[in-house]
Amino acid sequence: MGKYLLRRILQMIPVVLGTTLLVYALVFALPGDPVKAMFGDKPINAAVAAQIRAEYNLDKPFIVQYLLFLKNALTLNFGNTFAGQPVISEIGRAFPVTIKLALMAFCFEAIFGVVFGIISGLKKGKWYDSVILIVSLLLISVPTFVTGFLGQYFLGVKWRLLPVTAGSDPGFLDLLMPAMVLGSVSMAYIIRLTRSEVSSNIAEDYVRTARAKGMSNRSVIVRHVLRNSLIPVVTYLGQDLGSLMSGAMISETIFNVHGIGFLTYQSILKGESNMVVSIVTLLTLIFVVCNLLVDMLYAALDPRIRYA
Amino acid sequence: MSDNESQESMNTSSTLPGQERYVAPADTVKLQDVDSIDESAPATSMWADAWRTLRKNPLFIVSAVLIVCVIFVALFPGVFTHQDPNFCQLEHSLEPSSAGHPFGYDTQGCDVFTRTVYGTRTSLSVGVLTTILVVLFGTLIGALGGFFGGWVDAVLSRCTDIFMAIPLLLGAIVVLQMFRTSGSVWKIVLVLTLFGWTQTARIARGSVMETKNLEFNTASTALGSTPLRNLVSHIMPNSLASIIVVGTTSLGTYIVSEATLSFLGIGLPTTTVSWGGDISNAQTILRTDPAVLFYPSAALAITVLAFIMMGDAVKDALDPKSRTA
Amino acid sequence: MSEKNNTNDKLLAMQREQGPILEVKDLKVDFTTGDKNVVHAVRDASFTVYPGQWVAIVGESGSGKSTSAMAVLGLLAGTGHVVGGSIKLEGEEISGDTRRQYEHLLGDKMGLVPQDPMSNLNPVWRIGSQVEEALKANHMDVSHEKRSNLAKALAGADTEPQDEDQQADDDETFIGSKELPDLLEAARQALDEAGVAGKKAENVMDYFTEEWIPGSETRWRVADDLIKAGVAEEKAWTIAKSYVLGSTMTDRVAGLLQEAGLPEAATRARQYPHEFSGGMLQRALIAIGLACRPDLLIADEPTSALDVTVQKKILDHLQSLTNELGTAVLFITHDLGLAAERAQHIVVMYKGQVVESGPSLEVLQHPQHPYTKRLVAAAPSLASQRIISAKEHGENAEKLMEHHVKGEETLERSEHIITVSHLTREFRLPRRKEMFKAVDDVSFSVKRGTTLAIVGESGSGKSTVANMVLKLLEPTSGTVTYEGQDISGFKGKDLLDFRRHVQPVFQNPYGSLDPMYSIYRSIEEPLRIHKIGDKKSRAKRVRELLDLVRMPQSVMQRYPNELSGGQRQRIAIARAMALDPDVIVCDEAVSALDVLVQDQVLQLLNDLQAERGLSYLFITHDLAVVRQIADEVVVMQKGRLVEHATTDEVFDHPRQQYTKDLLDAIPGGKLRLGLD
Repeated sequence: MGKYLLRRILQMIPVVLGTTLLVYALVFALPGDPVKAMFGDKPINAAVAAQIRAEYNLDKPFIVQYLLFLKNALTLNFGNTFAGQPVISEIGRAFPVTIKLALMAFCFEAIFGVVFGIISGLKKGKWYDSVILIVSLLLISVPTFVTGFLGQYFLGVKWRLLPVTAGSDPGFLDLLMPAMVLGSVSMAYIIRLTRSEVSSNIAEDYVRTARAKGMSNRSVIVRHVLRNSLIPVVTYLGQDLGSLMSGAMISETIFNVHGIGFLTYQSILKGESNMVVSIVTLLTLIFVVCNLLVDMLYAALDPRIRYA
Repeated sequence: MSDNESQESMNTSSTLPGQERYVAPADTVKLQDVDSIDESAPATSMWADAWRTLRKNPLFIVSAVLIVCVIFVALFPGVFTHQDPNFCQLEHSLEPSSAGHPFGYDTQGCDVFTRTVYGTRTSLSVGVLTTILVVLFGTLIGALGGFFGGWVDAVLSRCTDIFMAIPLLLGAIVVLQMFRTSGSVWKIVLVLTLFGWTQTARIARGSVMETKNLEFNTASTALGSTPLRNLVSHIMPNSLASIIVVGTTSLGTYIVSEATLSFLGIGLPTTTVSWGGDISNAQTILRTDPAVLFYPSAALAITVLAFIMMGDAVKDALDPKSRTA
Repeated sequence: MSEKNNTNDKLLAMQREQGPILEVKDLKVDFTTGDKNVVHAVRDASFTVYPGQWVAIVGESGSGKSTSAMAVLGLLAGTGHVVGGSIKLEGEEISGDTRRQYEHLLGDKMGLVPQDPMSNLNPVWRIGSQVEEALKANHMDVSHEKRSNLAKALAGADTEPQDEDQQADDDETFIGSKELPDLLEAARQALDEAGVAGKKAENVMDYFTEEWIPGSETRWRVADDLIKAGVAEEKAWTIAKSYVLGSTMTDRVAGLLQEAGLPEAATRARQYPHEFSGGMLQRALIAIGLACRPDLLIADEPTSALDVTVQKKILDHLQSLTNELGTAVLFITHDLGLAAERAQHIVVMYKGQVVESGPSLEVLQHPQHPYTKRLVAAAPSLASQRIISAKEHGENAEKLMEHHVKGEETLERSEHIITVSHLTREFRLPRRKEMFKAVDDVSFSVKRGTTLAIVGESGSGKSTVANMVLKLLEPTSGTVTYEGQDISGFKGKDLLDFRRHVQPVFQNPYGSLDPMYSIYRSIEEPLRIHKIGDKKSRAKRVRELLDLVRMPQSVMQRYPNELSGGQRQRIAIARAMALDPDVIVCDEAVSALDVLVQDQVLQLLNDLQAERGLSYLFITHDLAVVRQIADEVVVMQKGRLVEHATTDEVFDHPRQQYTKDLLDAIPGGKLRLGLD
């Protein structure tokens, strides 16, 4: 187990380096002038432009730029916004909100996804299996922002069950609808994954052997079908935790939740490249770390990996 | 020996009820030739087999009809509407539906029906072009890694990991914020390809590695075939099924991605008609005029649904597990 | 012998009195396919099993033998369901039972030892906990042994009736691992007191340490052992009663595994299935099947995935266990020889129907149904036993052989077409420093127009040798020469030329043909690669080749998935023959096939050799098949060549113990077969 972890961490290092390099290169080295992009539609002030270039080390060779960026990133020093605020404090303010939102979405998709997936997989071909399948297909096909609007319109405006928007300091109820919208697509995928896992595991030989032992149907399902189906589902959930953070952008924009996604969106509109790169770098790191956690979890759940 | 003798001696006297000697009458069980071939059944290749399964799948029929319709609308929007989608008159702003304008008008006074019809082409071309590029590029990288193995595979796999670590939406945002004014669908296609090829590469790699170790490749080598010939004539054709499945399914998600990017205002500018952009514009009037938002959303959802259902159907038909190997 | 007869008679009387444990009458099982078609998998099958008996169901794949067994267990897969007939367990009808009712029967009334050890244990649970599940599911008392009705009845007839049931139960208390050290200590003291000392005491103590397994051995056995060692009866029982106090769950699980023949069971129980070999997994499955002391054990090809010597060991073990416990066994197998050797009663199934049944030897010696006759004639294990017994009787065995073995002189005179000398191949094991020698200094030569068989079990390196001969793998050292030329130097045109003359037929009939290629394209492929002929002449050649392997030309447009394993293997032979090779390397080419099909393919190979003077290098794990095809035999074990001689020599005078073990493991070895 220890060796396995060490290997995974060592493999992670080039990926982290490569990823940050890639993000950095995409912003600062692609054709298209980042400084110009920062000005957006406004006329470019030459003096300010030069100042920005110096501040972001854009006048130095690319590799030096990157290394300096990396050094700053490691010390969480991401520079300042146009308004002079440190980027990191803006992020620090928005982060807790997104974490709260992402965790709620995570719980939502995990609980409902797994439960419906199991029901569907165990009772393949029954009418409620078909209903669950069709609903999950619809959730996958309808883009998140449309789901969001539909939720806003029906749950918020028409039936007045939940608040339409969240605002700057949202509570549990305020975040409920954004979290459901955020988790909906993943929930649908989890339903499909759980269903196919359960229905293929139930046909495994060792399940028949377990039945032949005289175990009750319930314990056969729990110990042999669900336990084994869990492995890929947990893997998916873990990876999804990382992408929920980045996926929160749409939900946060629609429901006016002042989290990371909202901040990213605003920064894009305002042309704050620095902020965007910082956030993307952070989220990518979170994503990579989540993947490492998934690997550990995977090893814990599947003895075949543990000793490999 | 003694064991047998005793058994033998008991045979006649000691048979237990229900275990008497029984021989089925020869005419009740027809004895067939050893390993005879059923020549009556029609010959089927894997593709013919898949096609037969598909034809019977309602999921496939529904999605195929929808996709054909969508493609037709995308190719010939003029058949359905004679208006220019960018011809907007503010005086019509938010007018409800009327003759010739079944979906009514949006805030700018543009005909919603016309814009929905013309939006089809944008969405579909992004989906199709991205899928083609992703499949070509992803398959190339994945196949090379899987086929050569060793350091080639190590390098390519790490590259795949790096691109995979950047969430599609975030990566696209970083790149697209610099090209916000360009109205060409190609910028979306390229960006989606840049961050989307990894999944195909992984699947192609896995499939090639699996096929590479099958005995028919070894047999082919022993017949005098070269590794490269094996790759082209055995490995790739056998890996195709899984690549097709992932391609069909992801086509729908690329359409969603384009709409999402346009919705966020960093995809296509408003001068290019697209469903995502129109939905974005309509969100401000959601409370008063939900219909304006409804039509492009519905068109988008139906199109995506059609492709995802198609992906499911194709997966069922080509799934190696469901085939009698 | 008289004693034995006595027990047999007693057993028979008991069986007659108790009546059958399982009675299946006119069983019908249907499967519904995707197109709503109904497949009659089992049609009017009837068979009966008595307590303590082994009954075998024999048949090829698709005969309905496993389906019948699963129907009895109520564990039919997918769309299968019983549509008619009756299944009676101890006289009670169970075929209509609900799943809940079956839960009460499974485990403690009926147990299962399934076919494929690799897939029948859940990879995520420890072996021990999977055994424990069985005990818990049936609320087994883990501190006492449970005896089957038959064992009770037999024991009851032997000894005086016990006054109290309780008393008898207590004798069945297991040794617990906690008390074991004290027990052994007490035993040592008792031996001292009894005057047993020195070397003898050491030996006795060693015996006790080895035999007194917690969770498996019981109180009366301890007392019995002590008394036999010379301890006074009263003292022995006092020790047994004060130190044998019952086992824990962990003890019992380890005890069960140990009983099934798993060494170091206590440690092994904490391991996961992927850390076990196939044979060990099968033992664990036997432990599970017998955990709750069922009266009936259904063993569905329990050893067909294993090496022959392991197979024999496991079956021997299973047989002694079930005999001891008085368990009846319904034994499902495709091997008629094996069935006859293990079971008293045989049921032969064909296409879902019982074609013949009766006492094993009678069926084997006087098969009456044409199908059984065919089966008896084709079974390689029986064929080789027939030859052996014919020779023992001084009869001419020549007419029994399908393959006319060339004499030693002919072999001496023949020219060597392939010579392998000092061949060695090493592999690097993952995360290990030292190299693993898969093939270690192997030398032999294949003579023109003859067949050399390499026999060995999994891990013997036989397939590695085949791959090196085919130049699919480079040797670490040593050489392979073809027609006197070292093949290691072959490149480009030379290599292509070599490929043309040395062709393979591989083991897996499902893997060696590209599923995307039509049969025509598959057979044509070598012609294309070697750029022989034009389209028209190639088509003609493909037709000839199909004739050669006795396949109708209509299969040309078909695809591999439409053909059976044997048919595919014939196509693979046609493909190998396309270039008119001199040598064909058959790597387990018939191992995956049913007996009759196997026989057919072997005949084809023999005929081709006779017609075209082909030379074969024939790789197999099955010594029985060798008799039907080979002139010379090379026996390999763990990468080394252990014996090399003519086929007759190997069969008649095996020199190495390993070869003897292999010969001994051919099923049906204890049978005495008539020659009709």
